[in-house]
Amino acid sequence: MSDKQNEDKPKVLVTLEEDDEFEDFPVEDWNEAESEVKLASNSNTQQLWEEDWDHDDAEDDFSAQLKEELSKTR
Amino acid sequence: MATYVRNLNAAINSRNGLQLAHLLAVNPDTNPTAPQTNALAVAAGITNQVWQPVVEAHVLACNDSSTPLERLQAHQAFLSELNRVSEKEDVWILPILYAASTHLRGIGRRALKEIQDKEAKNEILTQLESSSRVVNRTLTLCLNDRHPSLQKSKKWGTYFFVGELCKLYFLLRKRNMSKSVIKVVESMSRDLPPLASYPRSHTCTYSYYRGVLSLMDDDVEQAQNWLTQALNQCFYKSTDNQELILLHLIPVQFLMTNQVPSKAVWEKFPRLHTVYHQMLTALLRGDVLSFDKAVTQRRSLFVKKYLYLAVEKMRVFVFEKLFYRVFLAKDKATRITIDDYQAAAKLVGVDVSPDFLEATVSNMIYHDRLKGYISRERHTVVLRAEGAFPKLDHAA
Repeated sequence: MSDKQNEDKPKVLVTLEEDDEFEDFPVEDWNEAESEVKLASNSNTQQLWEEDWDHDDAEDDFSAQLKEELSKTR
Repeated sequence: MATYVRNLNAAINSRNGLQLAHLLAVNPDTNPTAPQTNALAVAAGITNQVWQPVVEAHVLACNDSSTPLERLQAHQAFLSELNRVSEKEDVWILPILYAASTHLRGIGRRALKEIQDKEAKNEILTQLESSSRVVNRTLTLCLNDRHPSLQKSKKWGTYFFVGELCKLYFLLRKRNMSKSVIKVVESMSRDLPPLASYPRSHTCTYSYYRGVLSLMDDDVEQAQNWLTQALNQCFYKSTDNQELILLHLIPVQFLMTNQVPSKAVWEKFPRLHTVYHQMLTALLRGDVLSFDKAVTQRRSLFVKKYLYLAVEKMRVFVFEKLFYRVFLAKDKATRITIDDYQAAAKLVGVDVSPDFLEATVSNMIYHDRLKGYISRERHTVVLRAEGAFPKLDHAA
């Protein structure tokens, strides 16, 4: 990797790269409730994942640009 | 010293594993009772002669004036002695083995971090490799324990030591060795208690490494399986481990279900946001160039974490989204020429051949993500009138 690329790279990525040990747990066992990923209580949902794939961005700039571009090729 | 020896004798004779683990803890911070005296003199006070060499090795390992290499050797010798006495002992001995093995790895890990000199580092690596064989011996002791009562068997230590070995092999950059260990344990799993009956710290670590190793083998489905299990078992305060699991799970989850992390996840794990948010946003928008840029910038991270293959597979989806947006821009036309598709690709800044674009369409059709066919002579994709994009166009 060149220096140039390293400069552009967020520092976070570098530390994540270097730091890769799965840490020892402070206790040996815990219960179901203690196995949850605790998300901020003020967030609307406690869900980890979202279905965003079918989200339709039809109104954004790119859609307008695309419409215009494709009308030329027609 | 007399009190210390008396306590040791009491713990050994009553087979009190936790107490003995505490007394044999080599860390002087947690074990102020560990005497800095003549090892032989302490050992001579142990009434159970079988244990004398263990205690002697322990006292020698407590010598904090030694070099990192010597310390590593001393701790390895201690674990070797423990292995020897453990042959005849049952489940009670496990806490001592756990502590000794964890500590041994900790010393090696710290030494590798602190030592800059290449030759000295290599010495540590060689020694640590030898340590990994001793830990492997501990694993074998657990795995092959023939104790008639499963409840009292050292088999309860199996997954802990698989985890220990995986950590060691990853540290030594000999990750393939982890695979062979897992293969052996899997082949004997019928003789072991069910995985779910082990403590969560053991199973979470085991599941995490299974997930990462599945990624190395490009088995996305298994990776999703194991990493999801790891995340669901992870201790809520161990957020660094949650982060590490999610680092591997996010691309895998997308490939399997097209799901992305929720806002709350990005907020809790800002570093994961830095790694993936730009990429996933680009993916959802069909923005090929921005996706490629994000991947290139993170290439070394992805290569190092065995994520590169999974991330490469995500690229197919950015073209699917782009093609879908052409479809929308053309008011859901049932005929889309490859020229249209190529114009859209140019618009997002990528110059790819018509053949490549046709191939992405064939791939969507093959995976049932697009209903239709390619008319090769007309260079046109002919879409089914209704529900041409089963994964995307729910309204149609």
